[in-house]
Amino acid sequence: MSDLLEQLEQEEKTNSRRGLSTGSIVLLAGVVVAVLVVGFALLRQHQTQPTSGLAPDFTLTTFDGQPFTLSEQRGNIVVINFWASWCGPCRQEAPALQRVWDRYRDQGVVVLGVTFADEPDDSLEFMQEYGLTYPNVDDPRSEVSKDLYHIQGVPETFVIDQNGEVARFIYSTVDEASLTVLIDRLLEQGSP
Amino acid sequence: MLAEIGIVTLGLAFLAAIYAIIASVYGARIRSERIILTGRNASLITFPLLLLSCTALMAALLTHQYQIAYVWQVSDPSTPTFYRFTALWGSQQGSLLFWCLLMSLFTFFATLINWRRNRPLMPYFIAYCMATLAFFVGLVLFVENPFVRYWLTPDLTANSSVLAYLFIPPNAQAPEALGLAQTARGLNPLLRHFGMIIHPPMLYLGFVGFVIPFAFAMSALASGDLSTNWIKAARRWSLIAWLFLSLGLLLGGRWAYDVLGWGGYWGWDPVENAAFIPWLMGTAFLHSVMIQEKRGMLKVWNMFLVIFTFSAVIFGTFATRSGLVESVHSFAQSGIGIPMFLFWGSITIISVALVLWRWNTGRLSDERGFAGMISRESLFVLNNVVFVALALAIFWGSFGAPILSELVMNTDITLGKSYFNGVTAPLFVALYILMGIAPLSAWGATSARRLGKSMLVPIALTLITLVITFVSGTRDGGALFGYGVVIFAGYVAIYETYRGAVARRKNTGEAFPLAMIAIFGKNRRRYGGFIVHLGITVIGIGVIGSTLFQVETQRTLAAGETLELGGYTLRFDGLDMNQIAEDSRVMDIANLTLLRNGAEIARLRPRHDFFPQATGMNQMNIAGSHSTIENDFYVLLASSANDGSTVTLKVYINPLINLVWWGGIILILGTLISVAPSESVRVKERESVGSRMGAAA
Amino acid sequence: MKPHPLAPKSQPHPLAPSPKIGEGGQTPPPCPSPNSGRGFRGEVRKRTPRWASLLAIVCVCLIAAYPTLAQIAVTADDVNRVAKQLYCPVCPNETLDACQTQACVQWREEIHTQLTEGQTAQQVIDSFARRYGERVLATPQDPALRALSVYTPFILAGIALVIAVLTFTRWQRANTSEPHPPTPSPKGETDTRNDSYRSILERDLRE
Repeated sequence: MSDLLEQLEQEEKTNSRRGLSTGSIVLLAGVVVAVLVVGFALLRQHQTQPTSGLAPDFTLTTFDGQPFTLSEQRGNIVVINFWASWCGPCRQEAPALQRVWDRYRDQGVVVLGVTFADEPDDSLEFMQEYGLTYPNVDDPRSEVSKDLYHIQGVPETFVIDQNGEVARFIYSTVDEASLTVLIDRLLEQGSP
Repeated sequence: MLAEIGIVTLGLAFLAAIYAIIASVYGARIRSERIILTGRNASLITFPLLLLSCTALMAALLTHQYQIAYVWQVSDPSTPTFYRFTALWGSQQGSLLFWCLLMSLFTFFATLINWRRNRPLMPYFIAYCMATLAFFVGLVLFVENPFVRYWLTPDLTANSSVLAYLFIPPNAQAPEALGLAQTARGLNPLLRHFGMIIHPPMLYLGFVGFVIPFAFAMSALASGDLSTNWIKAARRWSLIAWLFLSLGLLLGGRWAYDVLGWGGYWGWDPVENAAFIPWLMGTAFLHSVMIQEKRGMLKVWNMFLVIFTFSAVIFGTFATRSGLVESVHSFAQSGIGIPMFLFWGSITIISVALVLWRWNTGRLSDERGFAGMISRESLFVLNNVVFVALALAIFWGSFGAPILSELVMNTDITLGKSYFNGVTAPLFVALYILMGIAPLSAWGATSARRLGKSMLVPIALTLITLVITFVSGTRDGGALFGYGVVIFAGYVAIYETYRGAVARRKNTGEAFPLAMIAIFGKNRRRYGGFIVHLGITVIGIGVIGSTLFQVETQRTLAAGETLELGGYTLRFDGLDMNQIAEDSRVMDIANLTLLRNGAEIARLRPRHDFFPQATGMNQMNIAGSHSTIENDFYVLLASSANDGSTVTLKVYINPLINLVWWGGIILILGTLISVAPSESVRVKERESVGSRMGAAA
Repeated sequence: MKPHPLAPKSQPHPLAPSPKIGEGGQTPPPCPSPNSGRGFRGEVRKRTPRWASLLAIVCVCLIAAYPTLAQIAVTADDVNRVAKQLYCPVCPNETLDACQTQACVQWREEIHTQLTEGQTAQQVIDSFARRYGERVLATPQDPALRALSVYTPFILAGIALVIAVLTFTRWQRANTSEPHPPTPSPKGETDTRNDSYRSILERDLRE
């Protein structure tokens, strides 16, 4: 067996070395490109909801027709709540959010609802049913919800502090008690 | 105790695999038989070690050890024992461990069986197998470990979550067993179905099985023995892997049809496609190696095919487990995405580079010359091309286009049935045509006239069948063409088997039935293959019928009302609400009566299951259906009024769909025949071993 | 997300719809009441016979009702035919007709409403694409995306064909430059079909 291996190695050395044919280069390049593309996609897909750092800025229109820009709210605490009329748990937290808005709206806290994949008529019906008076914006193309905030479903809530940074990400329904504790703490820290 | 056993055996298996790689490669380089043997033994030990580890996890599942995080995540006290077994692969960590076990099982037997027969290939074979195994065991050990346990550490407050650790943190206590048991999550409802029980193991066996041919190919490249030895060693393993992969795909389709509730069995979902692409490449490989064995040609093709089959396998498991593309099949997000990507990327690029290097040195050149456009060799090249085109088109639709459009154009797109059906249909037609013509062609040159003569009988039979089909009502030109192409391939398989038996009868004077049995005994590959082709034909007929002629409707009915579809009448008799099953699911069951021409032919009970304790996916729609060869009358309970007075039903009639499952059974039978060793092959192998040992002396 | 075994049971992830999904049946808008012709009765002219006026009223009603009569007949199947071409925003890779979540139920109701208003299937799909973006369509409509996704496989098939042709020409070239002669062609057509078949078969099985 060792003779066979030696023989094969001899053959290899005596064969003239040609350069890699164009076909081979194209194939190798294609494979490398495919691998890189998949790699980028994986990195992109790994992005999850922001839990710290500057909150991604956006401008959307409220159901009253007014524009709402997140960065203009610097100095205020913003509670961004992603919801939809077809979402059961959203119904549980809507009254809590309305109470938070009533309690803190004069203290520099803004509650903002952002609808996700929802028909405007259904959203308005929901808002009327729960008597929501805080600003609600429509995000039909999911550019803010999916592309910027990478939500996986609704409801998901982000609390943004006075400096525009994400203070907390709440994965499911909002618990009114812990939210008020958080807002009180942020208000304390923010006051000069 | 169980967790400790599991962790230690896992760690030992990992070390053994690493050692096996080093010893095999080093031993092969310096030609030390002793070191190579230690490498082999290290590789063999991985199997009993992983078996122990899996058994530990299984024991934990069966004995309700909820402190182990995996057990908590996939079971709860009400889970029946049967599902406790299958919970082993119910979630990411357990299924990865199970995958490692199956891989070590395959390499164990492949190493033992081939040790003497293919000794020159073995060191590098072991090295490649163990490299793959070491990667996956490493993943389980360091990233997704099923044996992490919940501990109460002193710094926890009342509201914070209990975390899971691999090793006991200092001053930690085990959480209270009762509390753990009460909050345990339980098995995902979708997995509580028979199909889901064997579909993953079959699929894993299929995927994992392709490590063997890949390792043999890589070993041939590394050791320089580029004759057909690696192919002969790998052939049966390739068939076995292909068998399990086919089974896994068929079972997956059947499960989707029964449980997922959308009336179909194949949705061109990215994860489904990720399992289909290796099947396509594997099928191309199985055919293409025949040419290298018989004619010494297409060596480079075979290398690429086996590499891309294995690459597709790794990509498939990577895409599924890492959630690369959103899918209903995906596992939850986890940390294994990046390591798996790196493994897939490096193994693909390195293997391709290795082949290109060997090709460049002229070691993979063809042994024979070109024999003409209609020789079997050319048809097989066309076959390879069509399969590769299919694989690329499906990869493009599932991954390429969505990924590129998101990266480059910032838009999420999803390509659906219309893309896949439109793009793959002409390629499948080409495949069936080739499946018909290639068995009639011959190695080397064939005259067009001879080929045409051989086609006469199958074509005649096809035309007769088509006329009958036309007369019995099918008028759609596309469908008739599809049926024609598919049936032609089937008739060729039957006709060739018939001719083989006739030729044998002429030779030996045996009676026809005996001749039939004899040719299957003596030439399992050829005639088993014809049975597989026949199975593919039957599946093709089923697919054409159920895709082109499906009818559906949706209607809301009150008790006593009926709906009409396709000559059938369906009557809603009443709704049984809130029935509670033994695993605490709540069911709403609709009672329906199916009539045809006024006569009652079946009672159907589609239902809607609700799982009150499950988080996430907590509902299932189970269809009620009446199956005949002609069609499936398939009914879903889409929704019901709160008081049960009306129901909304979705009704499908799927013509010929049961041929898909029957064709699958025929395919499995044919593969089993092909895999079994035939007498003449065993004689040949003894001879070849003898001659090789003589040459080495 | 790590589970919290001892913390109060976590809420189910909100993608889960509420358990009972009632699909409200849509009642068709009523035909305009003939009573709207009340004025007619009071204004009946003496010379026109009563049956003629009644006939006139009925005809006018029918003509007025015709557009709404045409709208009434929107069945669940019509909705599903449109829904098949759209994707559910919540469940990945499930078409809108198959998905049973509350979100999809509401979207299908919207389709029903638009169809009832007289829009064609294509108009409904366009309105959904305009509002929710290309991600809800089963086949992208934006021409660049369409080119990327639909035409590329044909380009790939073309490349595959080119590879096949190259392989054949490479073989052809190797054939003509080889030192030893290529495999001889089998026996001529003088053999009976069975004989030559047998020899081919034996060659197949032997090698």
